[in-house]
Amino acid sequence: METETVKKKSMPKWLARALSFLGVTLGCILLVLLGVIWVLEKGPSPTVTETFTRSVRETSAIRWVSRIFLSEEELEAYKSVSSPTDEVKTVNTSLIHMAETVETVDEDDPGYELVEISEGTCKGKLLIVKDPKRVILGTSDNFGREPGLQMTAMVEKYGAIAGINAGGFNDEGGRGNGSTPQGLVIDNGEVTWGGNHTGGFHVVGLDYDGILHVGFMTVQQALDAGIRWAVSFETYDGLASALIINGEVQKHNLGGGVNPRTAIGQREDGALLLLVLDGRSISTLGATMRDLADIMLEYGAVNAGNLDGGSSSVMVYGGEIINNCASVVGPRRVPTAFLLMEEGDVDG
Amino acid sequence: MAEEITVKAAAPEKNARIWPLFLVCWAAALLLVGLVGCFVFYQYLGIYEVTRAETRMDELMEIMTAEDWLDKAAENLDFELSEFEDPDLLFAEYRQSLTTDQPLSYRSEKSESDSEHMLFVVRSGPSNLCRVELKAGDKRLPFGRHDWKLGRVSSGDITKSLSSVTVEVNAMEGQEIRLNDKALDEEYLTGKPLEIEDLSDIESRMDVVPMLMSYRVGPLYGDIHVSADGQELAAEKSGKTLRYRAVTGGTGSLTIRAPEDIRVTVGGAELTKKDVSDSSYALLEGLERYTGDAAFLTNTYSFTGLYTVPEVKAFDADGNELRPIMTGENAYIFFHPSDAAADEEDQKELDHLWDLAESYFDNYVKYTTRPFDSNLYYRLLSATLSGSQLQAYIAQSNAAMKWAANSTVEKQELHYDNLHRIGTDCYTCTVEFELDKTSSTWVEEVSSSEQNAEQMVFVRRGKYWFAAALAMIGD
Repeated sequence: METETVKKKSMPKWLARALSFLGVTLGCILLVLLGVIWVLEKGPSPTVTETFTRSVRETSAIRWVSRIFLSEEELEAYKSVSSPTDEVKTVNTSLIHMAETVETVDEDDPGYELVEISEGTCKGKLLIVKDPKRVILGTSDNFGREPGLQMTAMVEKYGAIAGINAGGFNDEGGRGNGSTPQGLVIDNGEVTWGGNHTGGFHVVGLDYDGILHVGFMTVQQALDAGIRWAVSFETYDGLASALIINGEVQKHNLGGGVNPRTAIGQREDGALLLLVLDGRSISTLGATMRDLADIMLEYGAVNAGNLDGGSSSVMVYGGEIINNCASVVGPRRVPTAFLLMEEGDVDG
Repeated sequence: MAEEITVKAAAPEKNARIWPLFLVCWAAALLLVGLVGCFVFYQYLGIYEVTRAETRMDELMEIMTAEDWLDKAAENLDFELSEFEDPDLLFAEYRQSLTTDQPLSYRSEKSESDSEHMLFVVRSGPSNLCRVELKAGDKRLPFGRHDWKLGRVSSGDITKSLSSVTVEVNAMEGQEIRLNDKALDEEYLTGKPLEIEDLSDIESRMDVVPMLMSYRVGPLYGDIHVSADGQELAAEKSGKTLRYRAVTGGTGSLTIRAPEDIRVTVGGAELTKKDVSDSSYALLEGLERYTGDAAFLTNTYSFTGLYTVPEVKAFDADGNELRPIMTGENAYIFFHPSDAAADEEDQKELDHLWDLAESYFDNYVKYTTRPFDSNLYYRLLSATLSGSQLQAYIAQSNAAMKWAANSTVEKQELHYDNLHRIGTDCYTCTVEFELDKTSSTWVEEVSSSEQNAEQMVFVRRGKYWFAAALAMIGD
């Protein structure tokens, strides 16, 4: 009788030890991280708890973190609760007094100014455009079927001087490709997305006179207001885009964590403020909605709206991204962007 | 041997137990460090929460009202204005315009804040009320944290929230322009005088053509009041510019009467026949047979719509400047100069005429200011050219003479001039006078003063000279 001896191959001891060391270390780090998250979510600082929770909830890829220690009831508190009166506020166009025709044309003045923002923990770029009619909405082709465009490509497509990302888009789990806009898109007076929706949108748009409109409105109301270019945006928790309406800060929309941000505002003299704030980096974690509103007010905004933030927050100028894009896998594709055009390049 | 084998087998077993023990210790150490870290972090967050500047601001917002903030801000006005604006007044105006009945909020001015000073802007609705500084307090806490105490509350630069205007004023040189009751001086001249569109022909020919001075001041905030020579001006608004016209059109006038052969200049511009608005013999009319011809022709130059009060000069044929008789504001009358180069015989005649003029006018004044005096009446008639209008006037005047118990005339000024031959048997002269007259009745005493000038004409008939005409100059 022949006996067959099966010899078991065992893992080398050094490898087993290395793996066990690594596993234990990672396990401990994970436990410590959980501890840190617990301190953030259940700790003694309501301010930090709110900021942290909102920050992760606004970030599609790590939204689940907020549910580790907080119950659904506790998370409900972070959802936007706007009153009916908040939703009917509209921009009073008479508060905007467009600068009169400049008597002496200064050839050295390009009509816009790029400002470096560094205020507290907020860092970013602000583009001030004197003539609001030079700003249009750029869009990618075939919403819902083709991916969006990276901002550099969007600026190139329109031959623009500069641009910032605009409206939100479907981004389940942070895997969206900018194909499907969120809410409403009005492109040169035509409703190109969201036209079938009977309810309202949190709109950020420009009318034919270059006046910025922010607020909750239906498609028809937007068209009746003469809006020529528009997008809409609201956060995961339903915070609306309106930051400032007629000089009044929209407090109910000022929740929001620390994240990269994009916003658009308008001064009393009609000049548009295109703002992008960095985040998710060592130098700056980002900005809250309150930070956005504060900076907008500091630069004289009478009306201002929040746009899509996070990894989408990008400003392109001179063909390059000039802020620190927070996306680790490169600039995201977006469906819409506000673009600064050369003088005379915009009809009407 | 067996014992040796046992010892050799136990060594790997012991080693096998040490590794898990190491892992346990390693994990315990890591967790301990993590736990301590979390504990410290927890402690830090506790202190962070109570030492946030925003927490202090929240406390202040609970106890301060909009008016409280504004009262404090009024003590520290942080804006600079031009000399034409009063900061306290402007702040009071600004305060009136603010919305103070809406919920208070604040925003941070991060660009002007640091770890020891935090700056906030307190708002009510859309209105900025004041800037609030929080300073690091004396209480020092772990982690380098500290409490905050209220620092300076100031208005901030409210001019950023106010609409500004630029004021432009067009005025003539010499006009006193006041902006918010302060005089506008040369500092605010734009240096570009403006042409006057509807300038009269005569002013456009003057040596110094009138131009409008152009003042520009701005930016200005608050109420604006502009006056020219004490008259409040109305503004024409164009965008952010308020334009004031201190001169809306030429309003000045000028009248000059001068013999045709007298050279007259207005602001250096010589008057020509085109400027003559009227030519007449005036009071010399009807005396041609004594005077000859054109020597009596008197030109009248009338100008209206003037922006300035130009200098008027007249010169005789030898270039001597003549003295005018002013018969009103900007009304000049020139006469031929007195005959200076008369020979001895003529001089006697001239002296006689001076005496005649003085005595005739003296009697005339007495006659017209006293109760009817037949002696004076006949004396005047006898000295007046027979058949002249003057004689007819005096002859018919006796019934019109005023009755008075007592009358006096005091001559404040009496000046005879311009005695000039204007024809073979004809002279003219002027008399300027200022008389204080008093007439008394049993009921009342009436006093009056009269300042005027008259032109007198004398005509020789035979050996004697007679007064042939007497008339107010400028009538």
